[in-house]
Amino acid sequence: MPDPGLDKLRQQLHDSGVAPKHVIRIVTELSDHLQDLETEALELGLSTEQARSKAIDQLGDMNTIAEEVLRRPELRCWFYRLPRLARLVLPVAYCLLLPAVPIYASVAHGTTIGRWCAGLIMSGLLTSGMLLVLYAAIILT
Amino acid sequence: MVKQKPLRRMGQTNPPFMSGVPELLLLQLLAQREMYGYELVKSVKLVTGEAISLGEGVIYPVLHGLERNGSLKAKRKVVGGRTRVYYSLTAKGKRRLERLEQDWNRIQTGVNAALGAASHA
Repeated sequence: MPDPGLDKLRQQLHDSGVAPKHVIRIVTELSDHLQDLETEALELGLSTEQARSKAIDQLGDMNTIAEEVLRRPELRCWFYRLPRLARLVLPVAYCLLLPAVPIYASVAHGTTIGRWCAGLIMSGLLTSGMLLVLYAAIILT
Repeated sequence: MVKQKPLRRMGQTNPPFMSGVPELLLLQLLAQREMYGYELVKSVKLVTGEAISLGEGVIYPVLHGLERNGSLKAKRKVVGGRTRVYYSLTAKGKRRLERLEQDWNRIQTGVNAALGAASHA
């Protein structure tokens, strides 16, 4: 079966900084459009393979579609559109986020962390107890 | 001599005669009713008598661009068991359509005048 190249288009748009919501929707809409074109071709009496090829031809070249998307800066992520602002804002945001990550983790995974700490303490106590018993046995013999 | 306003909004990087055409056609069609991509392509073919032929997929970047600048609104709808993205015109889109129509009419008048002058020469 001929491949329309939608995966390649998705990757190309992602790599060029197009906002993920536009990438996902454009690829989904193209895929739906292709399906409609195939159905239309099948209704005309073409074989599955012929219908697929005709639909891909009608949909157009994926490089041209990518060029059309990339010609529109408004469809890119804000940090691609405003690189100077991004260079200013992103480091500050990262500095603020850095201490927030452990705090968030302890709030979100408090139970797991608690269980892990309790396990660690219990195993420490058990090891200490065993060493104490061993020490006592050595002393008494 | 009346000073003509410079042509605007007909594209910045493409040749100005054609770059605003898909946008104008799409806005004009969506002014009548909401449609999804495939339906729009069929309508463009129908209303232009297939005079304008382009890869059908290039309609989506145009639609997304128009949506991003507020001229269109996109809405997901389930029709016949399939999810479709329907586009409709906003108030800003209506104003944009009026401006594009004016621009297009100005171009058309200019070209017709030039063709008329050439045929009389």
